[in-house]
Amino acid sequence: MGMKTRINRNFITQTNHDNASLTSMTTLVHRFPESGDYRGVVHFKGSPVSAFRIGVADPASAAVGGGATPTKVEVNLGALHLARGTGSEESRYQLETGGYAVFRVPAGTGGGYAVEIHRSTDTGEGRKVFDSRELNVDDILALVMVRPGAYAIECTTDGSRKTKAELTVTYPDRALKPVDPVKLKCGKEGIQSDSLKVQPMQGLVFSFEAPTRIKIELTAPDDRPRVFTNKPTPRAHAGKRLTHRYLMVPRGAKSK
Amino acid sequence: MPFTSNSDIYAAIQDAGINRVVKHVMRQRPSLFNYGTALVAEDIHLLCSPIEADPRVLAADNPLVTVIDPLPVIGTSYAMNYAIQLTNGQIDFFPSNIIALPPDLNPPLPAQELAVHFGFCAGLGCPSYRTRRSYPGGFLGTQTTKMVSRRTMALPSVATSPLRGTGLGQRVPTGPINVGQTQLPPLTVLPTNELDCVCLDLYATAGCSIVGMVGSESIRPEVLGIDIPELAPPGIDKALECYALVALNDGILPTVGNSISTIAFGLINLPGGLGDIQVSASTSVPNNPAIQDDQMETFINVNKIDINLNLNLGGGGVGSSGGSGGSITRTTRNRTRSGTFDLTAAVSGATFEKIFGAFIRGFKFSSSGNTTFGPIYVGYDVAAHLESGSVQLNSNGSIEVKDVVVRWDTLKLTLGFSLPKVCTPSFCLIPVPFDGCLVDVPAECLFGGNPDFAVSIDLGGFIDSKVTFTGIPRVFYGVGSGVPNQWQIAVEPDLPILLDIVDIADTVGDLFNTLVTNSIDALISGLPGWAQDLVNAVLGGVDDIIRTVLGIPDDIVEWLGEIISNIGIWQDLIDALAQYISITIFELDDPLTILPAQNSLIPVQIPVQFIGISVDSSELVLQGDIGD
Repeated sequence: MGMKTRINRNFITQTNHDNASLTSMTTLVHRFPESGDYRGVVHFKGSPVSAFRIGVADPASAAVGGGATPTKVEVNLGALHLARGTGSEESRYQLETGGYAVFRVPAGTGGGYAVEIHRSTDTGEGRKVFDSRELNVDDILALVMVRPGAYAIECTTDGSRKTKAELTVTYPDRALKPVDPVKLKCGKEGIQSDSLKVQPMQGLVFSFEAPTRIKIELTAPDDRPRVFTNKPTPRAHAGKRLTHRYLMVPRGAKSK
Repeated sequence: MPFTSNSDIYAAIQDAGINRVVKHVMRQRPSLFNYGTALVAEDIHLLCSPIEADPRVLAADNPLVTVIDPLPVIGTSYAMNYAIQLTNGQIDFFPSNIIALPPDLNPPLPAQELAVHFGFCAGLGCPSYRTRRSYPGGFLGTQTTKMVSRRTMALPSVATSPLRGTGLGQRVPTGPINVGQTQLPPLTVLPTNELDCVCLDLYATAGCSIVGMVGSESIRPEVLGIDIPELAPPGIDKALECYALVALNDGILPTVGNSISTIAFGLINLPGGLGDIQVSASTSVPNNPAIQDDQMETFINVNKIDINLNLNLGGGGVGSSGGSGGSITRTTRNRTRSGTFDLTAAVSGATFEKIFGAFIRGFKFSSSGNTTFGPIYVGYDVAAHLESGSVQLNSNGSIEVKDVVVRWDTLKLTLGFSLPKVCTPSFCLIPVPFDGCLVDVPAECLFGGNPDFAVSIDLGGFIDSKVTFTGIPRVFYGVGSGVPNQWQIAVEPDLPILLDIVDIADTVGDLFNTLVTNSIDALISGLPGWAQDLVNAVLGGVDDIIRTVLGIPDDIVEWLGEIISNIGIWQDLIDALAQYISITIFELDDPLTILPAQNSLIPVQIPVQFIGISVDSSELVLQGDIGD
């Protein structure tokens, strides 16, 4: 058997997070409280690369139109990016009023994505209802911290008000047990906590009350020399003798 | 009393069996017993005694008569046709009950002697007076065109080329023949229409000894006394007895002795290529060979046993065997005769233990392959041989092979594992009350697939195991297809076979732990230190990786033993051993060739009517009958 170890480099290198640059370590959700037609544009490293449409309809009217509409749609930003230039029409999604659009970047893919959504009107592009670079009350941002160290969380509200918090991701020096994600609220006055501590691979879930941009940056990585504290101990009992007696019959023969 | 109380090996042949052999030889190689001039060889009706030849001799156009030169008539340029025949050969071992000895040989037959009886006929071809002319050379007369000139030396030579039914260049003379060198006056063979015959009975008594170097010994009968009762004039009687003595001692009896030796000493030869057993005559008996109870008994010691086994276990299993493009189907055949066996051979328990022990220790086993044991990939490469142990004959007819050490030259296991991908935990972002989760955060994994690593460990030096089994020797009559029929003896294992895994060294567990640790370290060594620690933290450390993640229990030694058992290595070993034991350890062609084919002469073969085997705690006995 041959080794087939493929390492997800993003898992190791993705230490900084920014809702203006979505990665595979982030999950962004936007709720559509109003019915209507919407057009979204995907940005990659600052440039628009793809567009899509979302039709949001009241459940009752959707039923009249012949079919139930989902309460959630998954929008794969990486896939939309890759599909550009293929000549196909813009991807279309249907959603129930009050439903959620979940924006994801596929695992193993580099970051740098942003998305904005405008309402579509008869005259063209209407008002912007969502921008991943400035999250608001109908949005939820989830991310997972992996790299141990000290981080700075910068919360910019309404484009100018900055608040900060310290985040510590502890060192994995003992066996990890599953823990719930930490929920944080970014209010009109900024982030609520001054400091918080999570264990590696623990989730952070942000909710918002005003247009906000969140940036998390590694300020002091926690690197330690490896200590082999888990060397296996002898497990066979000293002096033990294994004695088995097998009564064997050759294949195809019958014992008397 | 065991047959082998005074030797390692005992072999005996009954006089009735030898007489059957002699009869087969006389029928299948008549030219050994019948001599005559070319004229006689061409016209066998001239012989004094008719020849009873095997049909195969006639079918092969083999000569019935060995051609000898005509008998010169002194003082003339003539030679006369003649014939000499030996008929009705018999042998009688002490006590005499086949041959009635003449008074001159002082019957009854003394102990440790044998008697021989042959009919002896001689005939001379006198020319008829009606065809004789009164002048020299008259016999050349009108038969000149039928003459065949031969150039030969003075001494008679034995011609064994076919004379019957020959073509050009081998035309048989029907009239006078010129014999001699060109410088000498040619002899004229006087024609004849019949031989004037005299038939006499020749009786002889003989003793036997074993002659030859160790390893090539043979039984040599030697005539002690000879008598031709019907021959009255003492001078002729003495001369002919002298002639017969030389003929018997140097001609006929060595041939018979060789035939007996083939049976007596040949029985203990291993089948071709299996090895060599060097034997010599025992000196711990007063007579060897001993002539008693109508048998000639030979007592043989084994000086050296070399077993050179390099067996292909691809065939020869129970039920059928064969080779050289043919096949043999094993059957059983019961004895149809009663009384003393024609042939008896016995091997002492101690000698059999040496031979069979060497045979068992010649076993070699190897196997390789791969399989899975639960989620674990297992590759194996195994080689083993047998050592030590004991072989014992039991009174119930079985052979017990006990505590033979299975020495594992290599028992290499390659165990392949897959580690988890090491993922962030997924969690629910927007739950649906009482109905699960609407939006979740999926796991993000460090490894793109399940990372594999393999640990190789050679347990060969760490395992002590022994095998014990009982075998029962069986005789089969193999009916050949494309090969001769054969009597075969094989040992059938009495199942089950016991395999004792006595010990797997404790250090195996520690060694295995170290190998796994090193392998995991090597697997993640490309990651930054914190990520390596993260992997260990997620998987719970090496101990937990081994116990929980890889599913290896605390007792690694026990677990490895379970793997070896489950992937079938023990079973493969036992299968191979059972097949090895079941190979044919002794085989004898039926019919058995005792004189090989010589030029155009067919081989002399004797039918082997029965072979049986028995075992008790002191010896293994093989007995057989020669067919008529």
